Amino acid sequence: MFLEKVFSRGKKEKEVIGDITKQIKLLCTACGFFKTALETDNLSLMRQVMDIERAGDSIRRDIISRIYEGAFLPYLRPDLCKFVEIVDNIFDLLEDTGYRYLDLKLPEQLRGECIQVAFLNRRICEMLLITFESMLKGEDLREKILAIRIYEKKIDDIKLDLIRDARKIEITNFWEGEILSQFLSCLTSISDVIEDASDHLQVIHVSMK
Amino acid sequence: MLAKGIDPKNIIVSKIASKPIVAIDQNMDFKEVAKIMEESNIARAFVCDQDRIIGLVALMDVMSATIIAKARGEYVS
Repeated sequence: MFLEKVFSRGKKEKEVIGDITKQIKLLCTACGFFKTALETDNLSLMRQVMDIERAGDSIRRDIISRIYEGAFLPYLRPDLCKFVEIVDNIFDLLEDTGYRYLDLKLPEQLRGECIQVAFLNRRICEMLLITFESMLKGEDLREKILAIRIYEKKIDDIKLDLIRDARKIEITNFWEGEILSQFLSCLTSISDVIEDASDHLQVIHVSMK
Repeated sequence: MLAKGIDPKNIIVSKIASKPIVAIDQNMDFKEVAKIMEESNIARAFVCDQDRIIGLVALMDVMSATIIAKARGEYVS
């Protein structure tokens, strides 16, 4: 038994599923904007990531309201809400990373690795969407979740190189170093939260069986 | 080295390296790379830009690429 099959007749359920799909698609867009902004050093595009975060927040509120207005069986509601909250945390982290970027001058020797991480963040978001859609169809999620873990491992490997390269950069004042450190930390943590979201999808998937 | 009873302290790398070197083009599809690795019984291959070695690809990289392509629905066997 799977979400779409079981609740296909319910209008509220359909709306919630549609909105969750929209929320994840918006996250993919935000990650894409972030990557392009980083590649082109486009600060105006980076600010649009913050606008998308606000749109994502609004979708989250709608989903939670609908769920507690009676969409889905009560035992499913907390898990669905938790998943939506985790996706919202990814938006928040992406926004924080964007704010740090606006506040710093990214050393050029780190830009290539940061773009690589941003590219993988975008890919892992797309994989989260594929996983969610597969769950709705009742397909096996193991391969998709494994793919997310592979992406996450790749980002972890780049993170080690990034930290090693960042140590070589001369820092002349405390805040410059602090904000660079926070930027790198936020950028490389996004995939961890996406992985948490995919793990939670697996929990929902198992609880539907 | 252990199986042949060779002392690691008294051996140079050229004596124990796999030969010939297996090199692949940078634009090669990962499925072709997997086939070459299987045929040559190796787990790593050098990636070349014409005559210049630019990197190394491992069996694990190929396996990861296969899993990701399958998960994304892009894999055609």
